[in-house]
Amino acid sequence: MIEIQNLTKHFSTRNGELVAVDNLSLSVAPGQIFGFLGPNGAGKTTTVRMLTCLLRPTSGTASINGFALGQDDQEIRARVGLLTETPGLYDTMSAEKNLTLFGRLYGVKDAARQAHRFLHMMELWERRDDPVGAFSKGMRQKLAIARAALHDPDVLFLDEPTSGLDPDVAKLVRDFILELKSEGRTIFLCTHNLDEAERLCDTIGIFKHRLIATDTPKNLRQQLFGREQVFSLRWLQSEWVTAIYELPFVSQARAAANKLYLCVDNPEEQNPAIVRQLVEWGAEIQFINEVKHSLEEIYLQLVNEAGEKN
Amino acid sequence: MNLQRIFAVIDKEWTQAFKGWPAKITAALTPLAVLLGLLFQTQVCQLKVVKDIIAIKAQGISLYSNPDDWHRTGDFYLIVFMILPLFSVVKIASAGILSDKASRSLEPLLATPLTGGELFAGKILAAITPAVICSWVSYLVFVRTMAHWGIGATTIFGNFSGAIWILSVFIVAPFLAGFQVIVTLLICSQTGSEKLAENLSTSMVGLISVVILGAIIHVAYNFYMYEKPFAGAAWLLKVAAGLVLLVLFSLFLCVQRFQRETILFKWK
Repeated sequence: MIEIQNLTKHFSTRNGELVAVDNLSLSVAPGQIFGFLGPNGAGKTTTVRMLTCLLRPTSGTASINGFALGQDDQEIRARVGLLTETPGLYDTMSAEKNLTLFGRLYGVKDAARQAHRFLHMMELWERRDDPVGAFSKGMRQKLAIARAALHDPDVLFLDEPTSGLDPDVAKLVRDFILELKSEGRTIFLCTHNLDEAERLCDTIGIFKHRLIATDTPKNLRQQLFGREQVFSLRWLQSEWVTAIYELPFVSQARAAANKLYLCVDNPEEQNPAIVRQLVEWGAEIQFINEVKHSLEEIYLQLVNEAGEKN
Repeated sequence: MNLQRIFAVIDKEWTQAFKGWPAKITAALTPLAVLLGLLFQTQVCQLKVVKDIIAIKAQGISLYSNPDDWHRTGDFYLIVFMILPLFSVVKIASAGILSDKASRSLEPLLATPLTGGELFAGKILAAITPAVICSWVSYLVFVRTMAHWGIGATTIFGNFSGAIWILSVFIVAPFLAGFQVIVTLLICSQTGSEKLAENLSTSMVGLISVVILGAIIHVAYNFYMYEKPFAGAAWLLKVAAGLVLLVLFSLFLCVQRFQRETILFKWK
């Protein structure tokens, strides 16, 4: 479990103080995948570095599985795995040696055996003796992920795990992340890939120096856009768009072509009333669907709103 | 201090430093070249004269020449063996940090439970162990060859296997190398260029050598002017004790100064 309270990090620069992370508070439940989304330079990597005890926070507190940041750093380091933005592997060493080295640093009992297990899982067994310098980007990334998970950490911090990978390797990595989740591990996933976040994450946090919003993708969608219903009609009269506001539960209405878009809170209960009203006005309803806004729309809306506020 | 982690760092450093045969040969070649130079110089220039002196002394005939003049040659050899490991440590120590910089492998390394003390201990041991072992082997070959030539122990050169030599080669030299590694680590951590780091570190070897030679010259001056003993065991013990303190203090400074956050940004 990750608990963060008012975590802040300032950097001194030539132009003064830079606030990289501003009063971040959030909580990630055990066994969850938390998607940490934000534009470049938003402070995501700084946050991860603070949570993995690489940087000292300027203020605020955090705990990982009950171990407090700044007090139990060695315990935290032993229990978390980190995939950095760049794989950071030793090019002159073989894939196997890269893993066994980290196994020894993490105090894994049988580092060689554990390395073999992960080399098989990541489909790198055949290339285990080759120097990593000769590996493709995808192979290096797979090896770096294996290294992060090698000591069976309770919590994994993954920074852009599928960035720049081809679809096959990206799928393997995503499946591996889901497997880690199924083993009960908590995963803190920094990503730009909104489709990936939607597929993998139980909860997402949208972040730009401060936390803009955090919830499940479904709830965020609902909070931002409500539940928008689209009524496809044979024809549409413009006065219906204003007249439909007479129904008290309709919060927003707009028309496009022969489609009427209505935002309601509880479509299961309220749609029949809308249908009755439209039919009463003489409308011929062809289809009724619910509009599903993509995570990209949610993300862009929230980040832009945050930008305007700043 | 966790030994397993220190050994893991040593293993990593060696893999990075000795990427191929050229690096391995370079590390071993320096002490070998110096050894051959010393042996050649002794064989060509001095062996016959020294043997003659030994033979004359054995007959109880006194010599006009001062035996301490010959001791100076022995002291020169001693200094060479003291600074011999310094030439290899620079290459090994700088290779580790510069490879870490190039491959950006520091962040995952620092995310492990490895402590700053363990990281530095691993880096220092990785650099000094091969260099010191090579210089020790060179010293043993030197002593054996001198004995074979009949000018080994208790000769007019000084006692090659006596307390002063043992102290110098087995205590002073490793600590001097340790200090050199710390200086190299500090220099490499501040520079991004491999060549610049190596050049600066090599200059430090020269600087340290000059300091040591200066101390010897100072002692030699005292000897000539005031007939004070030349490079005695007491003086060497003081040097050794001073070096131990210097290494421990600079190591302490290193660990204090280079916290994870500093390493991460400075060694980038």
